Amino acid sequence: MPNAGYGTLFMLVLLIAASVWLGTVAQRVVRKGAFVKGYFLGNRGLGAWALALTATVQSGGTFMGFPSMVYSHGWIVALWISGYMIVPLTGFAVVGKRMAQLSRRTNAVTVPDLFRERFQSPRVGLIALVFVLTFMTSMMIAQFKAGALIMKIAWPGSGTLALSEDSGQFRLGADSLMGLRKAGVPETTVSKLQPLVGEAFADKGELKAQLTKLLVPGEFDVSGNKILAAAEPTDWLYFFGLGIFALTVVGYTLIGGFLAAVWTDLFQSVMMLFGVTILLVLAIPAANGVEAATLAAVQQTGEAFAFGPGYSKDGREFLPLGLAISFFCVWVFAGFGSPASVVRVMASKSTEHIRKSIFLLGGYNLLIYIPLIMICICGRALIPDLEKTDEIIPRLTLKLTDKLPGGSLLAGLVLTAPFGAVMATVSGYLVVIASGLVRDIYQRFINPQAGPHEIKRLTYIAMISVGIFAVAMNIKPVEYLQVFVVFSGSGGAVTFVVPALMAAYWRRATATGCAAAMLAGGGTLIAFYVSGFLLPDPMMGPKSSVRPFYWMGVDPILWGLAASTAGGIFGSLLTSPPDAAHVSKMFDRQETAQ
Amino acid sequence: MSSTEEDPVVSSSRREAVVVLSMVAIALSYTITTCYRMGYGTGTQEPKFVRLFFGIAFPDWVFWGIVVPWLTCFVLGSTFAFFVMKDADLGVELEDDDDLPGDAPVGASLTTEGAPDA
Repeated sequence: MPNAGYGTLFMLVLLIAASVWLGTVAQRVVRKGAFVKGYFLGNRGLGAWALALTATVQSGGTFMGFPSMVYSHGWIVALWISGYMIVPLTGFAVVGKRMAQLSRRTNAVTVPDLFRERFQSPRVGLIALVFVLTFMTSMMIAQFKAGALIMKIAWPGSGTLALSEDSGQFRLGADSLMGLRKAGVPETTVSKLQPLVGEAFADKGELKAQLTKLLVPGEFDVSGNKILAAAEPTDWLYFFGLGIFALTVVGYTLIGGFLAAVWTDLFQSVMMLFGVTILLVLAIPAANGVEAATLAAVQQTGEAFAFGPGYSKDGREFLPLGLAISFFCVWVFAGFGSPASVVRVMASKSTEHIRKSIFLLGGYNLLIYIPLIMICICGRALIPDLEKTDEIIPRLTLKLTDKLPGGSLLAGLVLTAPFGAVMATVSGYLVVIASGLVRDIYQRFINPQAGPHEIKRLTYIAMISVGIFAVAMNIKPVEYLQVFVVFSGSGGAVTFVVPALMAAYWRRATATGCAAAMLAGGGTLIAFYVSGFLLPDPMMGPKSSVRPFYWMGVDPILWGLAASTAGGIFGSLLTSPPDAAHVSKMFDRQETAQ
Repeated sequence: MSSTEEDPVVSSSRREAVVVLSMVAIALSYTITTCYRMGYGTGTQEPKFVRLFFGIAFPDWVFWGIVVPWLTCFVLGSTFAFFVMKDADLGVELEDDDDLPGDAPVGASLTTEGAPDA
């Protein structure tokens, strides 16, 4: 099995060093002003580049889940991601200027702050806070796992290239059987496992296949998970990776706060662009062009690889029409609905920088997504029949750089991009979560008179505690990482898009309307995910054990947005209009009283 | 003292939001319709390609349904950002402090006229 080599490790160490250095530079800037605004909002000084490449770029998944999907389902994934063509505009030009203005008018530092002050309602602030913490914490925990896995990949000789969630040597020993008996697994079931004792399995899937042959379905349903857990190896490289990742990302975020998160995000976005460009230049000639690559892939799979609704081994419809419409909307609305994105727009320096960032992000998206699709199509032709499809980028990189001078470093540059991407995502979320805990809970409800030193100390404690919590949650890591990512992104959109539009443009919007919009949107999404978990697989959309219920073939984000709109409109119209003087302060030209 | 004249940021943002959301509707309709008509339900048809340069090529439905509108959105979006969107003063931050919002009256230390960039 190919290995990442020392070049990758070297680049990773370089990336970590650069991130810590950026954290210290950010710290110097933060010291210039008041702690809260500096640490949580970068003194509202984000320029066009930082805004463009960090506010709406979905960096964590770009190098991970997305290439795997192109490899598995073909050209249809271009339609799945096509909403990104308009994201630069929607991300900044729909509510960007107003959010930046409202945050200044209300002196808001966080998203709950902003909603609370705009609607003069602690209840609205609290609901916003609960949703922010729910969606962002689940996403952040999942990202810690991704960071640990990438660190493990980068380790020379680890023999691991996949970001698979179940890779490792699975083995049932005599002690495992003893443990299973103690855990209440019936003796009849344990005795059937005897032939597997001492045998090694490359991954959980392989062991699961053996178990389904040995056990009757009822036995597997009852004891399957316990047996799989008993056979799971202690993955020291994973724990090592988790420790290094947590120390690094919590460390530099702690030092530099919001600016450290933003600058690292910007740095990794540029690295990712380099990585994609290098891979594109190498992959196309190696595959004799994209057309030849597509035809080779079609020969391996069938015509469906080049058409909609996409190729799937098991006959699943990857992107039927309803989901194609849905996913176009997912990216559009997630772009300006995510609390992490809204915070960055709040921190923008001026409208001129917001405008420039539309151009910069437009160019960046063009240079990332369409080339990445072509790279993965070439990858399918060059490395057919990949068992773990999320290995495609690392494997292709190693294959293409193998014979090049300095190839190991080049491979390192490409392979460390996902690590940087995950670090940046986690770092940004750490700041938002810590600000929620300190600003929106402690300063709001416990001690409104807290001084700067106390706030600073509590912020550090909150950040370290969140880091420890995320590490603890990943000692027994969460499964289905990608689902957490999509759930969190969709959750941000259905909960905050309509309230943001109401806050920005509707004078008649009331606190009850805003609360109803958030609860209806978020509640609908959660209900559809719970239903999907309980119902049989409809054989459409991305394959996952935790999937939403696609009512009428449509992703829940559209139902969530519809429910949120209805909640917002009816909730507002059925309650008394808001205080006219306050609305005027939010919407009308203000003169300074001298 | 506050007047009842709507802030220019509000009116220009609202106008821009309407234009952008209309562009979303057009991009969505065009992309989905083109891809569905050219790229879905083709049975066992061989893919047709649009060949560009340096070995870059796309299935025709991807080129016309995704690549062309993506480039168009980039050009129109940039034009919109540089020539249509209005610059406006976002207002001045309240004095640097760590106070909670609401501790000072909203707008008390704000000015929207001639304020420097933050």
